[in-house]
Amino acid sequence: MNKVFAIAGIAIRNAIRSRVVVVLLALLLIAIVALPLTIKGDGTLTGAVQVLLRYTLGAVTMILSIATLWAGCAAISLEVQERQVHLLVTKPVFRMQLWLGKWLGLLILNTVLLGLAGVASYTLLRWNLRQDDVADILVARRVVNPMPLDIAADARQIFEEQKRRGELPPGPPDQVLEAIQQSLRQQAYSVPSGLARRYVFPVKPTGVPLVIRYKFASSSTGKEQLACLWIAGSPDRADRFEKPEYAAPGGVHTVRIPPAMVDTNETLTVDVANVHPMPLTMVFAPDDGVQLLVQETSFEMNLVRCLLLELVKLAFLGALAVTIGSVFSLPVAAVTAGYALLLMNIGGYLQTLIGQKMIFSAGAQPGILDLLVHWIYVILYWLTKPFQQPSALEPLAAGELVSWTWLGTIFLWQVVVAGGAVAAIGVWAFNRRELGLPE
Amino acid sequence: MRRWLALVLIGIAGGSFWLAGTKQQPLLQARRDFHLSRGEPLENTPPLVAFTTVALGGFRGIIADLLWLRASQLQQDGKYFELVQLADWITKLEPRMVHVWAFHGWNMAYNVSVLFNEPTDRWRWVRQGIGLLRDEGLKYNPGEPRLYRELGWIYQHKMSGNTDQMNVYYKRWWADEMEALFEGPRPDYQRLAPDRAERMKEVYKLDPALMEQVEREYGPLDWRLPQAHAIYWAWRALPLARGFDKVQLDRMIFQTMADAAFQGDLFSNPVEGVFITGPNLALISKTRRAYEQAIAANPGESSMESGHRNFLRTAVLVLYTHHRLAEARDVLEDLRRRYPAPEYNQGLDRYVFSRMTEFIQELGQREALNMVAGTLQQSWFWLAMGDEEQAQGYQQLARSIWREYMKTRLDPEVAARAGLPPLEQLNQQARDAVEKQLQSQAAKDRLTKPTP
Amino acid sequence: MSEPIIEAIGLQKVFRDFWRRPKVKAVNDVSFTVNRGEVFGLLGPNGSGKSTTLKMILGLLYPTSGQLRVLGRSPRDVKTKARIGYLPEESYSYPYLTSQETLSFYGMLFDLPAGERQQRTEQLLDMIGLRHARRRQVGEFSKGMARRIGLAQALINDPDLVILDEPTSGLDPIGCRQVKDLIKALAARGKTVLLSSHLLSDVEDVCDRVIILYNGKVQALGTINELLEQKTQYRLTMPEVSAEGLQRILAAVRAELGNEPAVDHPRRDLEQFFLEIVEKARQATTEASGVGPASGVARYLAGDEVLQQLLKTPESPAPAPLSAAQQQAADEKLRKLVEPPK
Repeated sequence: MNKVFAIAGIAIRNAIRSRVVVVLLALLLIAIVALPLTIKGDGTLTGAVQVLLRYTLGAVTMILSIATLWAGCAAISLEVQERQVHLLVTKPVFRMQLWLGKWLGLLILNTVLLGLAGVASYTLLRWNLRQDDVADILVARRVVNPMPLDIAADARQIFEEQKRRGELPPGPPDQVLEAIQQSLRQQAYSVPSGLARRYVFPVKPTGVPLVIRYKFASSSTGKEQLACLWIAGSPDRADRFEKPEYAAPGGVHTVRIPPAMVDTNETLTVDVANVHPMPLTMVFAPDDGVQLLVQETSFEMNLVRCLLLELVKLAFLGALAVTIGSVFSLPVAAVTAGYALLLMNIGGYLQTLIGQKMIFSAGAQPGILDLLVHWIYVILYWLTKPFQQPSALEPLAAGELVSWTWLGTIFLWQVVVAGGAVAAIGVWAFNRRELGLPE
Repeated sequence: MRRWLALVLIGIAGGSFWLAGTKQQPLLQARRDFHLSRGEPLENTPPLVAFTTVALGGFRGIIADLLWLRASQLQQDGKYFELVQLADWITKLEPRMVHVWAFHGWNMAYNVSVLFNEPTDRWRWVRQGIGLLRDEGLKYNPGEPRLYRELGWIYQHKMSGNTDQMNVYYKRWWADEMEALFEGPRPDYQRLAPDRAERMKEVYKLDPALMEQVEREYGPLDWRLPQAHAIYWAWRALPLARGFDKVQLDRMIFQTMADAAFQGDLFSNPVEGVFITGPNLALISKTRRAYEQAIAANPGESSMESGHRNFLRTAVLVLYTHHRLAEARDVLEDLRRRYPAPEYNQGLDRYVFSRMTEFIQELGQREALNMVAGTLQQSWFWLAMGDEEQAQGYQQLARSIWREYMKTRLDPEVAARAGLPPLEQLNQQARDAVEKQLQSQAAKDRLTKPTP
Repeated sequence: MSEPIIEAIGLQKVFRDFWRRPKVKAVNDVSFTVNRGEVFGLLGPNGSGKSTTLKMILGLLYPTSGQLRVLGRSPRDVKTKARIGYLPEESYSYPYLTSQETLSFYGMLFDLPAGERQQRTEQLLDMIGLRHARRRQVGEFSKGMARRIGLAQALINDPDLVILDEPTSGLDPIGCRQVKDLIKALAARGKTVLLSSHLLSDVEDVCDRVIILYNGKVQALGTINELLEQKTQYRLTMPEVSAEGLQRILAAVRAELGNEPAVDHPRRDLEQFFLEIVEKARQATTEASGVGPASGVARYLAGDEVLQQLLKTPESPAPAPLSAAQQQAADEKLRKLVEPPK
């Protein structure tokens, strides 16, 4: 292990003495200080804070990602090129130790730089907001989904009922059942005028106000607002909380609910009634139509977890880059790694491309080439899907909780599983490589 | 074996080149069509924009695409905070592509604004749309009539029209802002303080000299209302436009003129909270001229003619109700001459009477609802006051309005979308509303009687 | 003394091109053995395969076929490497490290404890005369200074097998002499030294045995004496004599051979001459730049004090009267020399 640390130490010392670290720090500082001066928010304080957080930290992670890729690719390939590696591999050092040392050096540098950037961003943010009330803006709220509906049981019951009465529609039974479930699901999330729908959230009693976040579509093609009434608290209570809303379909809206409405059985019952005078139906999205936001930890702790998550991603990137750099020469490695990073980050774009069957032809039927290209996109998408990197910056900026569980999962996947696999490939390929080959 | 592999790879490379070649010409053409060629140097650009557009070269299209995808995704997820920044970057990556500006201005003013419940939030987004087009888009593309039209459309349709439920707020806030800017319905062109003229030009991009010209041609306009601004921006683009663009601008001008003629006079009293727009009768004759000129310039545009006819028909009614009988007769005469139809052959009085029923059918859903609800409230009010006869009369009137309106909306789908709630429900609501306002128990008691 | 340190049997290395087609047979059926305590030289022109052979012994290249054992194990075995010291042909050090850090770093790779590491670093810096430059970054060094660092790092682990690729290239005559002395000292302690060189005189000075490669094949293999001795000729060296004395000797030789022998003054070795001049100059001035006064061999490398003492004075010692035993040994040697070949 000492050897690993020795190699990591050399890598760090090189980075510092070759002024790479200074340049990176300068770049990061420019990003942190200059970006907020040029960025346009949406005109609200919340918006300004969100954009500021999202963009400064986004720029920081982008700079560090690119630097990590470059440095990781250079770590071994440059030493091979400059033959410094000849002095390393003729010493009693396993190539795995060499690989680990290089990776560890990157990781330590990243930790320090990301930490400094995090502190700087946070200080600047606090300083910018020194005169504002940020109690509602700098938050970390857990997103709680309502308890799922037992649609399957209901569907089964209807199915049996219809079967008993001999009214079952024709078709394979499982498809019929699926159709029943589908229509039940649709009904469950639709609230016609004059009706209400109940959501129950599992939530521990708390002292901080709760927030309901909702989003719906209207059965009207127009964009007119609909009148709805939000009622919170157990139905047998006398002091249920009520809040009328005149809400626009398609938008994301919030209702604050007093914490006292949480029941003793650790649930919060929320009813939404469609009280619109016109016969219009509110349709809530099944997965994020109605959610409860519960303040859980401080914003600062959330920021720390968010930065840790970004560090985990950088650790994986470092592993990938060191591996690529231990197989290819620097230019090839850099291009390969850059391409890999690009693919990992445009998963959404690839998905869009997959959805689009017609790339070349203008006609009605996709041609052979369209299919070919389509399949290339599909393969690329599935190849990169396991490595696609979720960003913790979005929830952080939106005031949502970056949970330890999430961080742990990403760590397990990106560092232990994916990182381990990449490391194994890297060490294996590196071991096979003859480093003394003439150029 | 290896040699075969090499041959296959060479084959694939050759095929790819050929494929790319077949797409080359259409792509080049598209680049020309959308002003994406880099031949034209950008004027008025800050160094940063000039640098990025040059430095990124062909890649800026890809980056703009990725940013655009992100913008749509965020908009879908209800995260609007970055949209202004993203739109700023996207448009500056392709500063010459008019469609991009037009789309993002429209998107913010129309699509994003309506996602909010609060009028202040909505207004902010309408203004973002205006700002993007007026302050940025036109700066880089001062010769593109499309952008003037898009900007005018926000004033004409989003703010001046009534499709947005919050339009009254927009009008009020805009009027407050303009009032503060001009200290009146229009600037005092003769004695304009330099700092005010500066502010008009710098912040609102309003050139007093041009405003005066617009005023001479189409005025007197109330610049506190968005109509005047729609006309101003459309008029500024007229010398730049030809063909279809020109037709669209002409149309914007006379449509807005017609709007201003019927709704272009602002009576505002901030102390009492009164904000009422009424007809600006002085504009009727100028609007007629604007229509006539446009029709003469664009023969065969039948939609223009039908717009003209509708304007004249409403003008007759408005002039009549404002007791401008001579002018009303003149307009009716004009109608008879230009668009011969038996109904115009009657006298003015008879014509107006027969139009009233038709008028009800043409009402919008909200106007009709207001009309029925208001009349019903009148009915209940008089009932509470003890005048059953009067109550009966209003009840009768409300029923006929409801029936007339619903006559053309018998189709269940149309009725659900644009129809009125059942009369009984409206009656109940009107009763409740009146009851709430009543002070004496005696009056309240009278409401317990059955429906008049 | 016959324990094999390197054993190569039928060694072959084929370089392949991008399509993995064989391109060059860099080493073709090379077999040799290097024994403990030997100084073994690899000779050959450029492209003869000596560098490839060296790299295979170091585990930098993997043999295509044949057997290669270094210190009884595969050359790729990490345990093997713990006992090897390698001086590459050029400086492959990290330019941003100081000389002290460089040595300390390589010491860490051998798991040397901190105290030992520091001690050896100091001694090596003294040995290569770079004590004054211990805090300077290696990237700023001249080629010669960098070579000295390379040499020092090769010895940090007190290796059993020292592999030197062109050990004297880039060094001034003082450095060359020092390196050669070092090699001799190492061999005296039972270390094995494998070196490749272009400078044949260096090889001749230090090597016990050499192998000459050409075109990937072994052309000659043997001790220096075996290879170089011209058994059919004699050379006679004597102190200054009078002209008459010389005439008499020549007459005797002429009578014996029937023709005229070649006679001249023996010349001093230029290297020896140069070193004496420099030593005189060094004593006259105390200022030193570049490489400082080197101090023989690092203590831990020299082993016992006596040997240390012997090596401290590389210049030839002042002539002293010969003891009876020495006299006898010299006579013996002479007798051997004049013995007719069998």
